Amino acid sequence: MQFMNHMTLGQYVPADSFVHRLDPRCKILATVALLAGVFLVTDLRLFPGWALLLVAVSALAKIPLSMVLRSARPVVFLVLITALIHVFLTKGDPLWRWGIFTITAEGVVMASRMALRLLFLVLFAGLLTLTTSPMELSDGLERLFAPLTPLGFPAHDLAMMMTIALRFIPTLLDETDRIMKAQLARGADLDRGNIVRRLRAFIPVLVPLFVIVFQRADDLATAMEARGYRGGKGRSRLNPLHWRARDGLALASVVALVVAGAAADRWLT
Amino acid sequence: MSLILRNVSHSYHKGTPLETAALRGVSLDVEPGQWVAVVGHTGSGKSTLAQHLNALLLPDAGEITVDGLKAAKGSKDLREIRRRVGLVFQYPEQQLFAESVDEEMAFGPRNWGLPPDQIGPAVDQALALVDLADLPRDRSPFALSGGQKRRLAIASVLSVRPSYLVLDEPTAGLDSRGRRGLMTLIDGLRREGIAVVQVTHDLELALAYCDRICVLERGRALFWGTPQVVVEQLLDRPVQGLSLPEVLAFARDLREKGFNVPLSWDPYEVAHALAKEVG
Repeated sequence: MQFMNHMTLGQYVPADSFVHRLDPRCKILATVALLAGVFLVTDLRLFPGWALLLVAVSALAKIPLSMVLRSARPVVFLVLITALIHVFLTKGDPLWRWGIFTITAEGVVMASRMALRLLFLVLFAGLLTLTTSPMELSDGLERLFAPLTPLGFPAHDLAMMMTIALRFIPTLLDETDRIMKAQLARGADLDRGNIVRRLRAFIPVLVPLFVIVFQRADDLATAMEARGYRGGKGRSRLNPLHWRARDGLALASVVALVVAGAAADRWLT
Repeated sequence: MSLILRNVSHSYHKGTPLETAALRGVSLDVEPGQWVAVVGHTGSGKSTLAQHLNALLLPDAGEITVDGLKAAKGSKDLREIRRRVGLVFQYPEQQLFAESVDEEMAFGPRNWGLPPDQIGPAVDQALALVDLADLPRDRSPFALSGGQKRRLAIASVLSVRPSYLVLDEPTAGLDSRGRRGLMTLIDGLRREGIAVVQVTHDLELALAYCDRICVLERGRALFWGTPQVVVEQLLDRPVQGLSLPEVLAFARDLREKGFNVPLSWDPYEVAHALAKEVG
């Protein structure tokens, strides 16, 4: 009864590839550009382009395509629901009718567009997390948001919080697993009865978990202070980020592709 | 009436690239009133073994029976096995959750469906077993001292009157006085007829207190027997991550130098013999 072992978090796949070596800021910005692109392009005829790009980047990152596709698994259900809603609720030329259900040509187009958009959105974001370690990611975000610090935006603190949260997710899953087992051993019944009963049954798991979390947070804060942590001011880095020519080139080509896609879309419609 | 393991194997993450064998063909017997130690280094499979004893984990291969009840997938007896075999995890004080000592103690008996009029006496008896009979019952468990919390957690498992008690590293984080106190307490349980299985990395502790010792190495039960038997085997073949008790190593070296001292882990016994030898 290993309750949590089906959950894998942080899907970073270490590899030595061009994409892995890019500056995280470049990858974050490129991903943002791509996400915008996915929404700017409406013509279905242009969508194979996204697929092509996805295959090309995966190959460049030396990550098997199957692994990239797997990152979309959690949203498959959402995509299906979205597609179904659009198929049945879009008004237009009826193609097929059965009782209260009507499928229109516009509905089919709309459903494929929405489903594919969602999929590409998740897949491109997946590429980012597959090729960028959580540490790099939070470093990159911190630097990207750093210009906002004078305006009172706590870029460093948010990045630190993100790093810590990511670091402790596996630990907390282990703790949860252990406490659940301990209470099972005391005869707790965690998976019988209706919702209310089940929620009540989880109190013996949640209370110890909260106690442990606060304890840990307290210990961590003390440990950080003992080592002289006092926020981001004047803090140097072990691995400073370097923006190289290849980062500029990579970002420029992605942006160019997105602009080209948006322009082609205008022209086609 | 005993707890029997025959050739028990278990792997984690079965069928994935991460598959690791935690137990490989472990056999073990626990008789009523016995105090058995399962000794091993980190990663030897001892915690996995502990969770098998009360059917929280089920074996991939091999057989486990508790008083004749079989622990296997789909068995209807799993709940009854969990009642008969109490399992106390490492740092059990972390599983406390209730608002009062009374609530905490009644959790187990209520879960196992003990009639309400029997819960009170069961709780009293369990608290007495761990030397906490005088504890104010309306106190919050979180307000107790570390040692009290641990004993309360053990009592909360004892409150359903298990025939077997499995303790995973019960002495972890205790000072030497707390450790000795806990060992005395476990000895008392054995006198009540409860069989105890203690999982530990501390060979010296096991030698000093337990009747039978099972030494695990990478999921295999290397040695199994009385402390004397296990010590003889250990002298023949060192076990990964398990160092000999210092006194025993000293006695062995003395014997190699020609002194007639017993191969013992008891400092007094060795010192006594050595004094006689030196004259």
